[in-house]
Amino acid sequence: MKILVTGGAGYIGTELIRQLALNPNVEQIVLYDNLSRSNYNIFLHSGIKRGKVTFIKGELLDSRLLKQVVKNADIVFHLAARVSTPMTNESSHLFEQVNHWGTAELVYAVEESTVKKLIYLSSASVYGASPDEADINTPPNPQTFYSISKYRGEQHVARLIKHMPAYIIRCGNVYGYGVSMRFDAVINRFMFDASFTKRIHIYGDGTQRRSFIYIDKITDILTNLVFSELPAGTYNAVDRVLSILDIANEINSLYPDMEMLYINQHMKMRELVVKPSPELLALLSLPPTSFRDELLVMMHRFHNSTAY
Amino acid sequence: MSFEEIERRIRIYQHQHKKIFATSSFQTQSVALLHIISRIDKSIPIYFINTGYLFPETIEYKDLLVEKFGINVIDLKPTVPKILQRDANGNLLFASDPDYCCYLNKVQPLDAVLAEHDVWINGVRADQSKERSELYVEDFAPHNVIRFHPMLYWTKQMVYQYIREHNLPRHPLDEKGYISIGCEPCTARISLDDYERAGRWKGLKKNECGLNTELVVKK
Repeated sequence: MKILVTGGAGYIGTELIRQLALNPNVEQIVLYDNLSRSNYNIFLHSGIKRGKVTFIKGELLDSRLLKQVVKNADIVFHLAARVSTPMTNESSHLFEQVNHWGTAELVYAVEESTVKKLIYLSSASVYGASPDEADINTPPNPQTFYSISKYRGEQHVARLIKHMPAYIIRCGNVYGYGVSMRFDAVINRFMFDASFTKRIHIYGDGTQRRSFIYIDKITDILTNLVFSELPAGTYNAVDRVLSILDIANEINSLYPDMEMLYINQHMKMRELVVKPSPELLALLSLPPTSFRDELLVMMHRFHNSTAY
Repeated sequence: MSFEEIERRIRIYQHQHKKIFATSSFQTQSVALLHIISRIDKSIPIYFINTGYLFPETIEYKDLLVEKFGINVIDLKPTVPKILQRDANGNLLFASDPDYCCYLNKVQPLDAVLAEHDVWINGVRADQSKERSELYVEDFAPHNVIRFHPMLYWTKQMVYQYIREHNLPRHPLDEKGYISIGCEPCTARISLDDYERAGRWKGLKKNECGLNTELVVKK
């Protein structure tokens, strides 16, 4: 089995490739990435042996190269995306370019190939913001450039669902230790700040709830999806709904001397509460872990940095 | 032209062993001609120019009509990858130079098809734009090709009457206010008071993609 992972050098892509590389049924993995975040950790610190995993530096909009790469794959994971970074307001066109039109290019390439399964990692942010729980039947109402472009990408993949095993996975906010981890989302940022600067920043009153999934769990689900007979369709990959204060308090119990600095504490921030898809979560093969256990792994890593 | 007249003209081209092809943008207005072609000869190749910027609904509609009419549709894609279709600021060309974007994604790929054929069946109507009103039922195209415009003197009302008479499916975006549908970045919804193609390149003087201007030889 040959697997292509677009965005394979990213936070989730790195962990996914590490898992897939361990599977004897996986013959070859192609890591397709433009390294736009200049994150080279998968090449340096992932423990992945060269040979089974090959790297192709490429763009989603390189229609010609993408077509050649897709042609040789049995399974395609589409993780590549321009992601939103808090406090920036980049051009809406750049999000559209990659997340919408780049996904359209990939879908066309898949359509012309013999690919057996396409897995598109979308975002739970397509539901927009609401204090009411969104389930898989809730009409999307994306509010940001990022989530609008992800939803438009979804619409191209949705066209394939009628013809082949294609999956749209609306993923919650991912957290947890990973070789190529990001620190722009709340849990990882809080853990880094609590560990290294001893002060976290809470925006708004902190009661806002968000929907999350642990990195090991999304990686495990995606890996198992390769071998599962789950019907094609759209699924929510969410593991926990937590308020910012829930997170801060749990981290505070691990780092008792840390401080919390409230910014705009008079404001009620927007919420996103997403109901997981049970059929998708049923693919999980890892033993259950508590939120505290997961934070402890990160804490341990931060305190025991390894070097060759 | 009536159905019988269109059929007769196509039969004459076939009698002359001319290589015929058609193009279609697969929107509601296209369905009448596609249905007429399917009644005359389902083997006539119909090129569907997939620029890469189409609405997913257009591709679904194309698939539906292929299944329903049994027509011979060929997907035509641009040869220049999108990565090379960006301007100096890194934006895709539709955001700064829609004419060049149309050229790379529509005109250039179709020009190569023209070179291999003798007759191009094209569904333009005179009531759609000034440029189209200046065309003839048979006209000149590059590579010594004949442009054949069987619907030229049909009106919008005649097209919709044909659709009703034959109970033909409509483009899924029709009911959402999209009347003339092309590439997604350059197509807008229109209001009832607007003229039919007002949603194309809205705000610009441009109202043709080049297929009906650059691929016409004026004589």
